[in-house]
Formats: sequence, C-alpha cells, structure tokens
Amino acid sequence: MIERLVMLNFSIGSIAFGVLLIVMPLLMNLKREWRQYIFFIVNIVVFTLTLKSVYAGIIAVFWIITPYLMAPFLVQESEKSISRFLKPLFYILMLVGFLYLMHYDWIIIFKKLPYFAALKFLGLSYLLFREVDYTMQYEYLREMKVRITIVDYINYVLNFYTIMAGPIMRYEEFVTDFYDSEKPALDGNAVMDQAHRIIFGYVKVYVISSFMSWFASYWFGRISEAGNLAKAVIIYVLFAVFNALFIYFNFVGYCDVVAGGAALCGMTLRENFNKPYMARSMTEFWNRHHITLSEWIRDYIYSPVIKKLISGPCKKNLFAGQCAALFITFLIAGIWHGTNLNYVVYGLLEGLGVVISSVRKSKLQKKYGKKGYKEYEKKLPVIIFEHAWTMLYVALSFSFVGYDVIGFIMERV
Amino acid sequence: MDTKAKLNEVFRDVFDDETIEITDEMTADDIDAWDSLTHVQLVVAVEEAFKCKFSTVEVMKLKNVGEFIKLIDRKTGNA
Amino acid sequence: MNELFKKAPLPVKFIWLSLELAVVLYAVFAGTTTTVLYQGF
Repeated sequence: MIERLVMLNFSIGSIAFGVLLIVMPLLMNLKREWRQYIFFIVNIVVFTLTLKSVYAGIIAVFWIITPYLMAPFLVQESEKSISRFLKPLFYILMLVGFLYLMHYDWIIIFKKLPYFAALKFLGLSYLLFREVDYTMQYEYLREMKVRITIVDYINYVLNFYTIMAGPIMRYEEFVTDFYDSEKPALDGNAVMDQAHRIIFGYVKVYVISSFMSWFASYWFGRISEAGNLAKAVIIYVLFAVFNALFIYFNFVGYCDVVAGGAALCGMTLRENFNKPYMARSMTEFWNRHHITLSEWIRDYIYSPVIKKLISGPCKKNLFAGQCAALFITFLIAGIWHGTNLNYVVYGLLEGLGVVISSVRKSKLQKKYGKKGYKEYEKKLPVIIFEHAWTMLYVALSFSFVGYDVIGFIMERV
Repeated sequence: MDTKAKLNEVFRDVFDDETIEITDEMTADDIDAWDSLTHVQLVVAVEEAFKCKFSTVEVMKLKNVGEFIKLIDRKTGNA
Repeated sequence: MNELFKKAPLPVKFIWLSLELAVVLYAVFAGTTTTVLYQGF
C-alpha cells in the first residue's frame, strides 16, 4: 500500500490550522480580485496535504469532480429525458460509495470488500452534504444566475474552515456571501470581537469541554462499581449529563473558532447553535442544535420521504405519515454520526424522541384546542417538566455517542 | 377556470376552511393551519389537481402564493 | 459572553483577550487530552 509518510494533521487544534487562522485574513485582503484564487489554492493545498494515501487522492478527485460534471445532466427537462434514470442512479451510486468509504461496522457486505483505513479522506460526509446540495440546486442556481465556476465550486466544497465538521453551507449562500461587495470592511473593533470569538471557542473546546469529558469518563468508569441497579442508574445519568455537556461545548467551540476565522476573511458562516439546552421538546432541540444539519436533513431526507408517504401509503392517515417520516429521517441522521452499532441505537432514540414530542403536542392540542394549548404551555410545572425531560432525553440518547455503551452492557449480560 | 381560482379550491379543501381567499402575497403565516404537515399535504393536493410534479427544491424556494401560482403555470404550460 | 465582550471598553478587551489566550495556551501545553469531536468524518 502506498501510504504517505508525512501527513498533515489538520484539526482546529493543529499548528497548521492555527497558522492559517492568522495568515489567511492577511492573504485574502491582498487584492480583492485575487481572493477567490488565493482561497482556491489554499483549500487544495490543505486538502492534498491531509490525504493519507495516493489511492485516497484518486478517489477524492473522483468524489469531488464527478458531481460538478454531472450536475447539468441531472436536470430533468421533460418527462421523458434521460435524467429520469440518471438522477436516481447518480444518488444511489453516491450513497453506496459513501457507505463503502465510511466502512460502517454493521454493514457486513462491505466488510468482505478490500479496504484500508487510509482510503478515507478529510471531511468525507460533509463533502457529500455539500455535493448533494449543489447538484440538487443546480437547475435553480442556473435560473437565478448564481455564479457557477469550478473555482467557486471547489471553494464551496473544500472550504478549509468548514471541511472538518461544517457548518453545512448551501452553495447559493456561500457564493452570494463570498462576492457580497456591500459588506463593510472589518474595523479594529470587529477584528477584536472575532478574535475573542475564536479564543473563547478554544476555551470551550480545550478547557470547558475537556473538563466535562474528564467527569464523564470518571462516572462511566464507576458504573460497574455501583453495586445495585438504582445506584447504577444514577451514576449513568451523571455520566450521560457530563457527556452531553462535553459534546455541546466541544462542538459549539469548534463552530466559534471556524466562524470567527472565516469572518476575519470576510466570510459569514451560518450559525449552527441557538441555545439548544433551552429547548422544551426534542423537535425544538433539533431546531437549535447543529441547525445546518437539521435543515439539510429536512430538505433532502424528510421532505421527499414525507411526500412519498402522504401521496401513497399514508394518504388516509397523514399524522402517521408525518411520524413515520420523522422517525426515518432521524434514524438516518443518527446512524450517520458514527460507524458502529451504538450510533444505530442513538438514531433510534432520536427518531423515537422526535415522534414522542410530535404525538404529545398533537394529543395536547386536541385536548385543549389550539388556544388552550398555548395557555397550557405557559404553566410553570409544565415548563419545568418539559425542560427537564428534554435535557434528560438528550443526555441519554447522546450517551451512545463516543462511548461503547452497547459493548459495556453486552459484557455484563 | 384560471390557476388562481383552482388553487383557491385546493386551499379550501386542504385547510378545510371555506372562507379562504388567496392572494399573491399570502404566506404560511397568514393561515393558522398552515404548518409543515399541511404544507406537504397542500403540495401533494396541488400536484393531483393540476396533474404535474414538483421537485423538493422547487417547493423549498417558494416564498408566497404568487410564486406558487407562477410555478404551477410554468409546470402546466400556461405561462 | 460575546455580547458582554462587545460592550467592554478597549483596555478591558485587551486584558480579557490576553487572559483568555493564556488559559488556552496553558491548557494546550499542560496537555489536556480532549479529542476534538466530529472531525475526520
């Protein structure tokens, strides 16, 4: 196998990223007409340096260029055009390729194919999200005369700020923002504010979240020493809460760092969080946590699924159709988060949580009426119950993220 | 019957409200029962009434009823 | 925190930033073992 000896370590904690954080704002301001080309070169260099093997490089070029070349052929001009077959085929192949490269533990069929870890490249799934958005929107983008060039496309998919873990921008959003000439230049105050956002983001990741993570592993290690079930449950909840806090501060910190960095280069990234732990239901939680992912799955998984269900099998029972679509959507989103079975459980729990919250809301609305429901929601015990339940449910479902809870249970049964 | 009148019928049907009078500037905020579920229901009902199909992206980009009418006209070749 | 920072007068901002930076650098060099989540997907 041709594996590279020197491979760039690229994460927000790496030296390379730190250097870019400082150098890029200067480079990007050299000359206004150059900025897309400077960004283009940096994105390609960074991505190439992170490749783990030559094979990964070949696959990555294919993975990135194919959607760009294929997009015009996927536009459906008439009922009989070839894209009717091409479009589903394209997305199925993309999905199969993605599943193979991710190497999900529980998909046995891919385990029998040759594979080595160095095939995977940086930001594989976030590339997929962006490529799906580009190809799906292509017709609309052409109609709206949104700027489309290979340079912009590469900058969009390989944007080194967002390649690791989002936020998932939309092509239109990215390009419109990038070439927005009315944006005021950054003054000293704005630079200070963004610098603070970046450094405070690092504090969240390296101080707060690392503290939370320490507590979480401490309690995780104590579960087996609990002695009786009640004690074990309490310790498990403690572990789950600290683990959820760890995930929150880790991810929100990352988003602050990249959003601040991009802002210094004159790019505005989408906000990914809006006080998620203020949510009063699982549905609301997902509208406040990892917002760009929620919106992506809403547009590209939920919408087509619910449309199929409502116009077909669930015509008589719309609410059942909605619940089924929600469940399927969140199950897929959960499974995507990681390659082992713990993430399947996580997906099931997310799906179940969102369905429970929808069913409860619909039941209450039927019972009290729409106005009465609004009154009911204002009662203090209801507020406390909803907050507590949502936080607890999130923590329990998130406990399957990062820890092998299934393995832990299996060992003891 | 023109597109607007026909669409009005579909709206009344889906939202179960005989008083609805659609306008071009109307959005989801103007009708109480217009939520994410009835929205999909509306799209499916319109597809059936006008014998055409919309893609996810087309529906996603709609800003108001006026744009919806334009989209229907384009799809059915009335534009 | 970000809102509070925006309102602070300039000297305070400088002190605030340097303190924050010191904390981060200390944490990194003291070797906190945080895995940065979600990366490498």
